[in-house]
Formats: sequence, C-alpha cells, structure tokens
Amino acid sequence: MLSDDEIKHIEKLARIRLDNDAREKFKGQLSDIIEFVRTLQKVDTTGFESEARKRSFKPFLREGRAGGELERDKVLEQAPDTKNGFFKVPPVIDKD
Amino acid sequence: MNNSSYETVIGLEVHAQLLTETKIFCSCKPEYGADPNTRICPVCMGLPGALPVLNRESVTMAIMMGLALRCDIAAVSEFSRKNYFYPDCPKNYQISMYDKPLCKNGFVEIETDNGPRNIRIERIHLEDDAGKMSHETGKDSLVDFNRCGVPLIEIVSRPDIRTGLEAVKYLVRVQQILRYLGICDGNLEEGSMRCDVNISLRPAGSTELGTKTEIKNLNSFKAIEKGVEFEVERQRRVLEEGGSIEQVTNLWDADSGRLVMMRSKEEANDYRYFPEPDLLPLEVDGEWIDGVRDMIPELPLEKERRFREEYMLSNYDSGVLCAEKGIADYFEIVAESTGLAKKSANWVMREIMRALKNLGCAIETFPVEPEKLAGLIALVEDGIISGSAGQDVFAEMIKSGADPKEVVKKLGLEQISDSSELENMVDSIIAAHPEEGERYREGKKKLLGFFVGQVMRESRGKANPELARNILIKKLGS
Repeated sequence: MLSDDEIKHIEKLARIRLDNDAREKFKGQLSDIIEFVRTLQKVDTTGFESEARKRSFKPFLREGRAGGELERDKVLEQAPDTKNGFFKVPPVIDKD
Repeated sequence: MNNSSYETVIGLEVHAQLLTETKIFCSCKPEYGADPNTRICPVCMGLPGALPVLNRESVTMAIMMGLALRCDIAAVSEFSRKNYFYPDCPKNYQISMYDKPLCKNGFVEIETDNGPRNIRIERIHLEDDAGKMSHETGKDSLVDFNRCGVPLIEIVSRPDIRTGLEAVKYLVRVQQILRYLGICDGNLEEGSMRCDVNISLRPAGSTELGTKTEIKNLNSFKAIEKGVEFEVERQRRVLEEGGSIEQVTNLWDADSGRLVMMRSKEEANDYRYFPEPDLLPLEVDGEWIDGVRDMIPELPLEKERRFREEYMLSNYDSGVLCAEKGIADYFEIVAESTGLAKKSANWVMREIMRALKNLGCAIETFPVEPEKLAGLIALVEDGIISGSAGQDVFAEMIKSGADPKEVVKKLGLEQISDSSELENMVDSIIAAHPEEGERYREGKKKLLGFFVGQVMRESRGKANPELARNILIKKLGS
C-alpha cells in the first residue's frame, strides 16, 4: 500500500491537489496498479528480449527543410494572458 | 587553491545549440533574436496529437562531436522523456537521451602546468531545448517559446577537473572544437553554449567522491573561474569547521559575483524518465559514421602540433593562431606565399588581430585578403618600403582593400635604394653642414645619427636608412 507521503509526492509531481477522501480512493487504486505490475514482474523472462520497442522497421528521419511555423496571433489566441508577443505567466523564480 | 588537505573534484555539463537548418523534432527554423513566439509550431509547442520526427542533420552533428572527442558511437540509442513542470516547457517534458546515449567514453586533451592531460568524456547526447523566460522582479514572467525544440547536445565530462582554471581550459577547447566543426557558434553570452559545474571536495588521496553542489547560469569564462573558486572556498570552510556539505544547486549572479541558492536536495527533482513512446530507437550504421568522419576537419590540437612542426612556431604562437580556424587558415595562406612563417605569424597576431578588434569584424569579412598581406610583407622584406611605411600601407589597405603595390605608389612610399640618387643627396647635406662634418672627423662619431636624420628628412622618410648610413660613412671620411 502506498503511504500518505508517497501519495502527496505524486500529487506534487502531477500538480494536482486531492482532498482526504480522494486521496484515500486513489491510494487504493494506485496501490492496486502497482500490485498488478508487481505480479507481472514475477514472471521469469530470462532469455527473452524486450519487445517494448522492438525494431521492426527503420525510423524515419527528417531532412532539414524549414517551414511550418504558426502565425503568432493564432498561437497567442490560445493563451490566458499575453504581453508584447510573449506568453505571460505568474512570477517564477525557482527553476525546476 | 593550494591547500593540501583537500582535493577539488569538478565535472562539467556543456549544452551546445546545434546550427541545424530546422529544430530537432519539427521544421521550424531556429533563429536567435527572432520576434518572440514566431518560430513555433504544434510539435515544439507540445499541442495534442502533434508528433516529433527526428532531424537527421542534428544526429550527424552530434556524431561529429562524438568522433571529434574520440567517443564510441552507439549503434542504437534511445530518447526518453524527462518530466517536469515549468513555464518554459510547453510539453511538460524534455525529450532527451537517458540510459542509451548516442556517444560514450571520449576525452578532451588540455594543457596543464604538469603537461597535457586528458579530461574524460562520459557521454554526449541529443535533446531539445526549452523556451526562454524573462523575469521582471515582482511582476509576471514572460515566455518566448522560439527556443523550444532547438537541438542541443549535452557533453558530460567525468569528474577529472581539479581547478577553476582547468575547467576554463577544458571549456575553451570544447568551444574551439564546436566552432571548428561548424556545429555550434559557442556563444556563452547569448547562451548557444551553456555550462553547469558540479563541484565536490574530498580528503587528498581519497578516491571516494564527496557530496557535490551544482552551479548553473555561468555565462562567461570569467564567471566560471570565479564561481568555481568561490564554491571551492565555501566548501573548504564548511569542511574545515567540521560541517558537512549539503547537496544544493546554486545560480551564479554575475552582477554581485556571488552564488545564490536555487534549490536544496529536499526539493531535488523527480524526473520520472521513461522511453519516449513517440520516437523509435535511433539506429546509426557504420556507413553513416564513416560519412561523418570524412566531414571532420583538422582539429585545433592537431593543427597546433602541425604549426609547430611545419612552421617552427612556438607553443604560444601556434596556440594563438589556431584558436580560430579562420585565423589559422588566413595565416597559412600568408605563410605559404611569403615563405616566412615567423614574420607572417607576427603580422597576423599583431596587426591583423588588432585590426579585427578595432573593426569588430571576423576574419572572414576582413577587407585585406591574405594574398595581399603576403604582398605587403614581401615589399617590406625586399626593402622596397620601410617597416614604418608598411604600417601606413596596411592602414590604407584596411580602408580601401587595395593591392599593397598600388597603395605604395599612391602614397609615394617607395624607399630610395638607388645609390646615385642618395649620393647626390648626401653630398648636398654634407656641404650644408661643414661644422658638423668637421667635428665628426675630429672623433665625434655620434654625429653620424644627425646626418642620417638629415637624409631621412630630406627624402621625407623614403631613403633606405641602411644605404644612407653606408654612403655617409664613406663620404664623411674619418
């Protein structure tokens, strides 16, 4: 079972705030998911190669031809607040 | 930093913006100084449904740096997501390489007081840059996303550096190599090359690493040297007083010359790296690597060695000339056509570099072509013009870009090396100064200087002074 501190840490990472009821609810659900994966991890996979990202075909690479930029007015339309062509956000000092 | 009880251990992370035609995962054109938010698209903005497609050129450039720093190039590397929330990153994750970087295990050679030393490179990987924030104190922050998705390589050194000065030497080398390869303009102030420093101290002789602190925001070589010294001193004081070092990240504040704490270990990030599901693993075959190897020019260290051997230049001269590829190329053309390596080196290191500084221009756009400078050096060496006239001709060539011979003609600066012309001039000068002539013959030989001066004045500086001297000695008698 996840601890209260772990749930709070996950809240912080996801930038969400849960009330106590929700916290209890998600604590159960998330713990179930982790338990499920733990069960899967018990399967002996020695001798098997990971197929999560199997290379079945060569990745397509882009040759550099510039273009496709959006018009600034259209981009800024989506923003809650702007100033002189910039997106405006609440003051931040600490850089993550 | 000569305290013997502690050893300083420094590792550097360099971020270099690649000079690609387009961004790393989309077709936007990176352009420093463009109007804010005019170089962005759904991909670099992280809009829903947009998919990244890797730019081949960025991989080629990263391989180039890998080969230049003698790294192994991975046949398969992989992009991962590094998750964090910050307004400069609209996707809420950076696409970077985590456990499978493109280049591994290289080195950079630097000169130290104890001879050359290799600083090992742990890895070089590709990633996308974040946007740029401007902060107004107490007010809102402004975000420009143009820089989002500009390709970066991160070059991570092993903790092999011992002093701030060594850190700078390493960075100067890395910067030179990036510029020689033409893959990054290496401008610290504009941020196309950025540097984070990890510092720890350990008891001398110990092989274990102490707790490290990180300094970010170092945007000049001077700041790096000062920042490192500042932090080393701080850690030493803490340790000597019996305290322990806390793992923190500091920002260098250039204005006050101080470190400002940015975050402590408790606030350390939890990036939750996982493989980027929108990108397949990157495969690089031998053919690609060989092709890139052919694109690599002679690198600064090899060039310096060749200059010492081929042109018999000193360590110092070859270092100065090779610092910039354009200067080194310019010098070589001058030296080849004059056949006078040391003289050519002196002209390039003094006159050319001074002129470049005064004009604020790069060697590539300098008005005097190397062939023309070679012509000028030949005119001085052949005694056609005097050394000081050479300076005047050079000044005129910078202004007009004209051929040195034409300038000499235009300014009437040819030296008089015709002895009959000079003899006539000497005769009339001796006739005009009988008293001085008498005293000279009585033993006041210093007066020869007076006569040479008269000849130079009479000829308006154009007489070949050596020749004038000889004629005077002959004509004045003993």
